[in-house]
Amino acid sequence: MNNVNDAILAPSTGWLILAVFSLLWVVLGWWFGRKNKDLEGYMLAGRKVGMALGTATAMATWVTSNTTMAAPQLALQMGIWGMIGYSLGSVGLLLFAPLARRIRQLMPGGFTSGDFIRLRYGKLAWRVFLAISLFYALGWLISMGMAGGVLIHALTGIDYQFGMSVIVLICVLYTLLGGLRAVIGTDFLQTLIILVGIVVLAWLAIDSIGFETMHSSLETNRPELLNLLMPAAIMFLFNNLLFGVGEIFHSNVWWSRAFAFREGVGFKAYLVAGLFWAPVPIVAGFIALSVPALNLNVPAADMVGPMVAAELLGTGGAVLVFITVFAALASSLDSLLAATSDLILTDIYKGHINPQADPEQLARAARWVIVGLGIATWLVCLPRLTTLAALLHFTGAFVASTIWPIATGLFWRRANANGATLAMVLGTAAGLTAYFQIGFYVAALVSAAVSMSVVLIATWSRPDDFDWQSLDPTTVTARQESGA
Amino acid sequence: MTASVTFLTILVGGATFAAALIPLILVGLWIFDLRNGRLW
Repeated sequence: MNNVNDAILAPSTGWLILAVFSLLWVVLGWWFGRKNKDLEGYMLAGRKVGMALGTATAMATWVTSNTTMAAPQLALQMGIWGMIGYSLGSVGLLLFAPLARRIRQLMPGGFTSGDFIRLRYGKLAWRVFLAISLFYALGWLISMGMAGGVLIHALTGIDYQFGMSVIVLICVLYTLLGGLRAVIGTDFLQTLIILVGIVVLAWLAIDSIGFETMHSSLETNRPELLNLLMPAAIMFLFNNLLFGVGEIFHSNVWWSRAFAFREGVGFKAYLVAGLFWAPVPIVAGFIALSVPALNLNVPAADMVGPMVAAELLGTGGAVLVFITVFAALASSLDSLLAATSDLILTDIYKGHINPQADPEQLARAARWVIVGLGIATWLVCLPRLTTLAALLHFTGAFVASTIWPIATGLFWRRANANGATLAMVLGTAAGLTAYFQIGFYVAALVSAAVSMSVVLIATWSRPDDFDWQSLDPTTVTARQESGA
Repeated sequence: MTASVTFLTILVGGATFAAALIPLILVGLWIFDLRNGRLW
């Protein structure tokens, strides 16, 4: 019987890897960011991001530490359906492709998802949406920060507080230096690192164990993992799909990219990123199926990935997992920091606190918001209250309620403000009730179903006649100036 | 080889092969964008 303690890296090795990659990301962040000339360059990378960087950033951001660490955990708990269910997270990226094209067409000068809700549905819906969106963004930021500290501690023995502080500090530093350009530039390299890391691990598992041995060990020790009709896994599959769609449709992380991509790139980049992302959870998750064949004793399900890697590759395996997970964490944390700070800057600071702020004030405020958000994340993560990390599961009920108001708001002239507001409120309430009464695996499902019903009934009973031109802030400003 | 083993082999083998190709495609796209001045 093998033990995970044999595989843990020495803290000195952990610090060395952290130092090398931290330096790399900060230098690259500064280097990419040196081209930023104005606020639009800083927030939206000049709105000219091409296909290669666009595809990689969409992919890397969606590959979080959850994908690399929780996919093996799910494979170990739910078997083959766990892997396939997780890979259905790619549907969110695929479905966002036509939305990204529409967003760029309707709002060529837009900045945030909040901009859209405010112009499309008015202030009440905007405020409800901001509450949902900021709650989700903070939940994701906190869970990423905590995951960073926990993983660094588990793999290297470095104290949780130190590991978490380093990862938050580094991401804040390079996002601060280079804005979205730094985030997108580093995402490209991080995508390559993540993919190479998981492919090497999967190949080693296939090569050293083989499918037949793996299958027969599973059949003997864990036959339920090969069962394609496991009910909980099928429920999880659909809930995960809707959760992912809700996360992507509403979050400014994806909207800011739709605004930042060069004209004509958004649709293709999100479509290709979705296709490229789909195999990742299967490749990352599959190594968990080798646990029975390797006769490993897994003390904590989320450590199965590093344990298998260390068993197959020794110290080299642990180093590889550490670098891969660090890249996955950084690629999501930096995107969240940039997109959430854009939302706070545009929708809270300019929208509510200082509507007359000039571009220079906004540029200064943008940096302060990133620093403030980083400090807030760090402070909440510091006590290691793991119950806070569970916030993310909770947010499924919130985000799924935004799917229909956003999708219909972009394509249906008749979708109306009251329907959208009510759909978000009632969808969230129903989703939360389902979460507590039934379980986490139905929260997003119920929320999306209720929200859909409200939007459809409201659109049918009180159809709006929305003027699409009013979504372009430049048109609105020009019309206001001419007195129209 | 049973159908179940074949399914596992195709699912995981296919996904691993696809994931191995993606970095090459991304680097190819990057070179294409760079040459055409469409990187940023």
